[in-house]
Amino acid sequence: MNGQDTLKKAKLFIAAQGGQVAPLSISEEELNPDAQDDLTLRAEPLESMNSAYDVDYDPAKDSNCSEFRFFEDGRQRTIQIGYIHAVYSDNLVLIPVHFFVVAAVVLEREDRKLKLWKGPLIEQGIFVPKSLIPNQSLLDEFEQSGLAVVDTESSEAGVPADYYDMRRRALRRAKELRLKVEQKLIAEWRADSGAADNFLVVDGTLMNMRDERNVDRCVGVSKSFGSRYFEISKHNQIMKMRECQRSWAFRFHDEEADLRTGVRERASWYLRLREKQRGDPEFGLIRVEISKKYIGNASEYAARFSRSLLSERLPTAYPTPRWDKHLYPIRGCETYLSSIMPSIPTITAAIQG
Amino acid sequence: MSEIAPKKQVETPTKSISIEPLTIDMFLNLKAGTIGRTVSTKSEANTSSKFLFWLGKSQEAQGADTSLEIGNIVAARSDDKDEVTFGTIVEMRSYSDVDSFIADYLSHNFGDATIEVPTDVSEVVVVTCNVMRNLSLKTKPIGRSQVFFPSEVGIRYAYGIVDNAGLPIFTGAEIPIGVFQNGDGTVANVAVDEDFVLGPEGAHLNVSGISGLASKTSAVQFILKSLQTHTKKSLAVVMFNVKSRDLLYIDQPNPRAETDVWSAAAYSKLSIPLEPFSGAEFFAPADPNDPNSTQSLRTLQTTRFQWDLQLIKNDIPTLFDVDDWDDKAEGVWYRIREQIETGSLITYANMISWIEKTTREANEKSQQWIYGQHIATWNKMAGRLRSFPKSYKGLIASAGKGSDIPWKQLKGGSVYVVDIQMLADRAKKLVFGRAVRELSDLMESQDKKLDAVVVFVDELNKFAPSGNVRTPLKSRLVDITARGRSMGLILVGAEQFASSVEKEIVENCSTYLFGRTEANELRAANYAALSDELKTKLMMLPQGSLLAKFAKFPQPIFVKFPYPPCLPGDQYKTAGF
Repeated sequence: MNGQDTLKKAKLFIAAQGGQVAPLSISEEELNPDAQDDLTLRAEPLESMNSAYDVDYDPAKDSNCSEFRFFEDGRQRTIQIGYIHAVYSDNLVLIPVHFFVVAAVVLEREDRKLKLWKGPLIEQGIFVPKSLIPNQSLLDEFEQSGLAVVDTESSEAGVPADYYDMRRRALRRAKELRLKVEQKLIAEWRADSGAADNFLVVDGTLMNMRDERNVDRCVGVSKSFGSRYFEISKHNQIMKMRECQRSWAFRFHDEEADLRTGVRERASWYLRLREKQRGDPEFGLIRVEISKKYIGNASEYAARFSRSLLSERLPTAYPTPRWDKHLYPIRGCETYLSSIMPSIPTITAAIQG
Repeated sequence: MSEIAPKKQVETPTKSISIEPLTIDMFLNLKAGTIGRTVSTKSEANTSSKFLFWLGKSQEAQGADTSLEIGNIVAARSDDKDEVTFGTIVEMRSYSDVDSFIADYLSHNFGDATIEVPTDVSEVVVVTCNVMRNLSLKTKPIGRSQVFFPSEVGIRYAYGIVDNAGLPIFTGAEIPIGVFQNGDGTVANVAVDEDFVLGPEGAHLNVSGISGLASKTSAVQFILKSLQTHTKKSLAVVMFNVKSRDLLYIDQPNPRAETDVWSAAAYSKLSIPLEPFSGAEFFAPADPNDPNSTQSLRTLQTTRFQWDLQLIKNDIPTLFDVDDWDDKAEGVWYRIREQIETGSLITYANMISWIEKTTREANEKSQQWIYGQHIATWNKMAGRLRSFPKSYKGLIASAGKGSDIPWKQLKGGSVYVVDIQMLADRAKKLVFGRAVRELSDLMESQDKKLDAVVVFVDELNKFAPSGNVRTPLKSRLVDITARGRSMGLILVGAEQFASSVEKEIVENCSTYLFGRTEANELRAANYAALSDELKTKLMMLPQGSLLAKFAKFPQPIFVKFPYPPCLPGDQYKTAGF
């Protein structure tokens, strides 16, 4: 079902449930920006922390030395399009209805030109806590007619009919779904013989990936990080790194207790893509992650991938926000996904019209 | 596949037959593939008169078999395959996602122009098209569509030459004016409607462009040949050779056209015989030093013409400078004209002698006034009239009987070439003005044998310059272009700069051809409707190509035409004749 059909059905669904269409002009993602940092994670050095490491990269000669050919990104958009009246514990409650769209894409570079490696994966539908919907048979009918209705019921303690909680859960479900389609796409990419022996540059952390086979050939690039994983003096060393310098590689992992389950462990390092401007210590600073299977030779991979990532800093995505940390092909992924996902004005117009 | 219109019933003498509309895809060159997709944005809407599309990868690729350029025609097929909209390309813009110059500077490692980046910046070519026609003939913005090159019939449909069944829709005969070659190599005949060239619906043709580069004369010769070949009317052609030997050998074959493969193929495709104007007759002013010869540069048979007093008397006022011809001069001329009408003055020399005798007698009697006009005015008139046979060299016979161009002998198929290149501007105007008057009289007479006479003159700006000054000749030409279509007197004019010709004349032409044109001229109002990129293309237009505007064409079209069927005058010697 395409976006227009989903929106039409969503509108009919709200009306059929006696609800009210009332689309917001801002998405939940914009209302609640998702923080990337995770304070529960730990870091342990794999190299000496005495100083930063110079990457073997000559800006004049090595600008086209990147070994990367494939780039992945995912996007999500969750927007409240109306609400349904329901009775919960003898109280009249409002159930928010969210339209969501999640998508992922892999771009391939060939002769310096970006192209789709394969069609993107895209899913769209609505979020509601299913059990609270007043007319369950109508809910079934709409689902059978093709409307994807994703349950946002919480298994956690608390009041399931709390309006704000339901909105937060919708946002969380969107992120889960987005990660799911990203995982699915990466799994497909991994199975493609044409991509064998290549690494996939993924926008963001790899810590959310639970399938280690997917992680094996991924290089995660995080642009935001609000946490400090080393003591202050060492962290300052990272903040002081110059252009084309990387930090020591380190193990990046869950609490030791959780590690026994064999999940959430990566090799990681910081890399300064561009010289600091106006004294901003984070200007051009990214954090790179690779699979834990490379922990044994993390230095070698950190040196190798840093060199390629420095090459990817050109062309710039200036003046987009955080252009200093952007890799142009990742920006290409974002632009592509924006073009195929219904925009907020389109969603609003379709719901109101 | 959907059909584009209901079946059309066509009545024939024997029975009524159904004409099947062509299927949508027959208007497209599907073999060339999709070349792009229509697009609109928040700020750039598609309208009923304009649409945009982006160029697909196949078109961007180096060495692609097809290539788009300004002036090409495209066909946008709606995604539901129910509609095709034809457009002509008026602008092509290449956009990148670089937000500013500084961004690109940064992308090259802060100004290193030699740097090679791993990923090329995304670029897209967006093409703007003016809407020509659509198959539904409805005025509406285009929807989401794939863009193709049109087929040959698609091109002809786009220009309103054929209907949706591929059948001609002109009311008159199709007069080919050249061929259109699209970006995919498809070649289509481009024709104008005879009824809009020779009347009665519209008439007249004008060609402008830089001398020597625009091929104006060649184009006109080719089109006149086409007219002669395809017209269903009784047509005569009169050409004025105003410079060099341009038209003096149009009765001779053109070896260059015969040996040029493309030209020969074009004549064949357009069903025009590659033959000169073999029966053409040539006329030139008499040689004042040789009573049996002319002043023409043509070395082959040429007929002399020279006007005696009886032939020229109506034109004498036009021989004067505008400043000299005032009420007093007109008063004197009235008396002289009166004397001519009595039959006592037969020759031009008789007239001069009579004036001299009249003024001499008045002098002898110390008489200041002659027939109510001052003697000084008479003397001035005598001086001017004495000078005319010299200044209008060879045109005025002082003594003896003159001979005029035999206008009344014009018949269907006649071609007259009047050589006036040797004359001063004023004399050229005299000859041209007289001819136009004679032809007007001929075409207005009750017993005319012709449906139309085409008069071709180069340097039209000399005869009808733009501006406020009105001359009898200019007024006559304005009148002809305004109402000549109804009487069959058709003006084909050529000039370097359209802006230098009287606006009313240019605006009355139903067919207009632009050759290579210089930048200054393109700023004139005549070109206001052309996009900047069309103007740029006009500045670089190769010889043998013209931009054609025709009353029935929804948009101007670039046409190529072959070498002329007759020998260009300057090649007469080198051609070995």
